[in-house]
Amino acid sequence: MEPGGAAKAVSQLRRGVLEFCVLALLRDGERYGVELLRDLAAVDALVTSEGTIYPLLSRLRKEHLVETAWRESPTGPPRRYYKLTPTGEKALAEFSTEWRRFRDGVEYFLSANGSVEE
Amino acid sequence: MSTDNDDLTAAYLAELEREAARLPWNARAELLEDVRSHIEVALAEMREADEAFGDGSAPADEAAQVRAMLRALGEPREIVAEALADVAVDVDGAGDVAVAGDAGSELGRSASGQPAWGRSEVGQPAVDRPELGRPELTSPYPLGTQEIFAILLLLAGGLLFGAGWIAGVLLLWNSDRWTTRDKLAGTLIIPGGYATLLYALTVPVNWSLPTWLGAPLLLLAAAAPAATATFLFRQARHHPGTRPTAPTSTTTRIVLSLIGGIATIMAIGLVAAFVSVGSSSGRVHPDHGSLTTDYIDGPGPTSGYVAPMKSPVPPSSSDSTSR
Repeated sequence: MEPGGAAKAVSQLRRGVLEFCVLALLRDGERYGVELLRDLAAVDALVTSEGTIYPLLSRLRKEHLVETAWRESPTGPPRRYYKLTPTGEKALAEFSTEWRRFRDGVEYFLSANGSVEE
Repeated sequence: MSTDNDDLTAAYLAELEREAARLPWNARAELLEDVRSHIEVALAEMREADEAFGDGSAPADEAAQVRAMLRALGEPREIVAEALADVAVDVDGAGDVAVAGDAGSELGRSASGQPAWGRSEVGQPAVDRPELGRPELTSPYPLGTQEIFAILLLLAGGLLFGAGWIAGVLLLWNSDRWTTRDKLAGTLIIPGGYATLLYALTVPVNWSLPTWLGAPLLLLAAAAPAATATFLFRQARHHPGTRPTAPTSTTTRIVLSLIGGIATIMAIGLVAAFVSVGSSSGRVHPDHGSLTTDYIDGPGPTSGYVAPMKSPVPPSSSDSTSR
């Protein structure tokens, strides 16, 4: 396989999975953009450039997976808060189940190959 | 705070705005608003942290922080590419309530900061709704005030002594939601809108058209403005335009108030004139429809025969006068 293959696959995976990480971050309550990004950035390898999260959030809103509201802040500028909708919760639950099966499947093959080679 | 940092963020936003020119205006407006807000909030939190922990942070230090924050945001081109991918998906997937909807209304966030959870349009299918009813909820792209006024004025603005229709034409040509072809159609089919039809029906003339020609023309005059309005509405909905028109642009406001003023003055003047003419001579009697009465009483389908407008006296009335 060409050397760029892994990077490309991971980037596509990330693109598909990131929105569910965002939904998961909102599971415990509403957050505003900067806050969300801080949490996402705490984990390596998920977000490369933070700004791309805003188009993603905008898409989640259009798909009614999240709701947004502008709130005044006592100290700074107003913030746009994001909150999970019931639809979003459902989507997140479904993905969690699917993801575990997917992850286990991939793990099975990857580790099997590893053990053969070693 | 320091102007250097303002310059940094301003340059970043300017570049983002340039890149975002590729986006439909409502997606662009939302993206710019989000990123601008992100920068504002991040800067504010940066300063808070500085005040809380380090005392007297050096400006150079802050500039470095701002640079790091902008670097973390990423290349404007990359961000716009991401947004562009979503827009493409939206336009293709017709089922989704697409780009606009509440983008405009949320941008006018009324500074009260009141939470607006649970937007009413959640879960509503994006099927066509009664047109012009609540255009802000229709997808894919809602019409701006300017477009709505343009269509309404083209339809019926001619009834304001022509001035309204002219305003409609100005608004039509001033909008970027329509192509030149759309604008030509809107202007030429039919000049004056329904006022033209009304005029044709009520103003007596000394000539008449043969039925075979007049009837289709009349039907056409009746149907065409409505068809054009529908056409313009559809076109605008599928064409986002390149600049935000929501909620009401200054140009629109100026044109509307100008035309409103002119229309009012003309209306007063014309009503006054009409009253004085009407009182001096009882001549003005728009006996219904030079065209319509001809179709009913006229010479029938004998093509080519041009009936003189006023001359044929209905037989019943001649009977009564002879008696």
